[in-house]
Amino acid sequence: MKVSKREAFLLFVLAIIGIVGMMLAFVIFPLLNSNSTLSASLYDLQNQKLVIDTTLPNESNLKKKLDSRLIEVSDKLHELEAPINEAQFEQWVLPLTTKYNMRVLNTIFTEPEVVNPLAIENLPSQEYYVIRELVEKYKAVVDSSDNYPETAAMVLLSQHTYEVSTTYARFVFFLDEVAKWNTSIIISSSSYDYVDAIGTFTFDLYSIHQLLPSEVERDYTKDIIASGTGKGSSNEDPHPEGGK
Amino acid sequence: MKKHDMNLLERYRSEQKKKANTTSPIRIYFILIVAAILILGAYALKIVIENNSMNQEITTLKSYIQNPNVVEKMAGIKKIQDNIKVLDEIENEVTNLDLVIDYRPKFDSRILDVIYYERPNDIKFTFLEFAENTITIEMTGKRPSDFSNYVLRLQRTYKFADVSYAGYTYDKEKGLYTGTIVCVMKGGN
Repeated sequence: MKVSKREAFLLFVLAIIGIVGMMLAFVIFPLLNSNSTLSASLYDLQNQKLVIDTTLPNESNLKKKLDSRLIEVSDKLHELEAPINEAQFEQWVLPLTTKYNMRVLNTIFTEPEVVNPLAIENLPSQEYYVIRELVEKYKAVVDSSDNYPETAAMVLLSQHTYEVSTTYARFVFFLDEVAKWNTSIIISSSSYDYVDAIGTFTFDLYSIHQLLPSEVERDYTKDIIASGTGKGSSNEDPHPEGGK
Repeated sequence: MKKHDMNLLERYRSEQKKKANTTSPIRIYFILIVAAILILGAYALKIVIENNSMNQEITTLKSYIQNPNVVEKMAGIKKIQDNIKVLDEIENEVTNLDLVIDYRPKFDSRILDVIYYERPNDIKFTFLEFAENTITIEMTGKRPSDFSNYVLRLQRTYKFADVSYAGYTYDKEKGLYTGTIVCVMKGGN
């Protein structure tokens, strides 16, 4: 069979299209796909290696940083007491009531609750009206309540109340002893009845869980013996510089 | 006279020679097809070699990254970094906590001294109460002026945010005036 020149050219074009198309479809494109997948994985692995290469030499620095941060943050946490239960708290208070010969009449202990502590609970009531506001604006009066420290932190609060029979002088001495504790245990309310010689103390025990044990751990393993008659010496003066 | 060359063999040979020197189109097409196959093949080969090289590199990197020692060290470092973050969060959380608690008014002899030292001689306390930074003093006095004098004295100390009272009553049996003074404490003492 004889093929004309025109037919031969058409067959050639067909063959070229067929060969190139098949090679692209079955060889080149799959290879290019796999090439781009490999490139992406290689890039990813190179990045991982870069991270490893830059991180590994810093291991000792990171360890040092962790150690120093742990001490810093732990010191901050130690500004507040670690949580203690009411029996442990009694070992703080009863030695003091015994020291001042107070007779404990009644106690109330509450379970801890989570609270946001406030610096000031009760501000003096202020009556505001337009003229006052304008006068204060003219005088550039700054609201002192803006200066109170605030925190968003939540802490544990348990309240323990003691009612004791004691003299006024010993009531004041007891208040001063508690103030000396310099902890997050504070007296949030207290009263003294001069007629019946009865004092009450409500302790607010703010506490948070600690990272490290305190350097000065309180020993709760020993039994204590608490007693008191409620009497005091008439010579004791809680306000020696003129108070009566 | 016109000369007629009658040597046809020479002429035939010359034509055949011309034909032999000319490449046939089919051969050209064939060469082009082979060339295209070769070019594409070379390109494919180049990609194959490149892929192989990348595969080798990937294998090397994977063996380094997945090395148990490296994995263990990286896990340790991640734990350290996570712990540092947790410590930062704790520090952020406790910011100002001690300031707030330290700022709370302290009820001790310092404030009771002020209350006692400013007291007029005729005033006697019957009940004293401290709650929510407020000190409430129940008292008796011989004169109606005792209460206002005492309140003004306490106000002049500037130790309190506010000192107020809501009146007083004369007790005929005791012959004394009874009343209550409320002192709102400032914080930070």
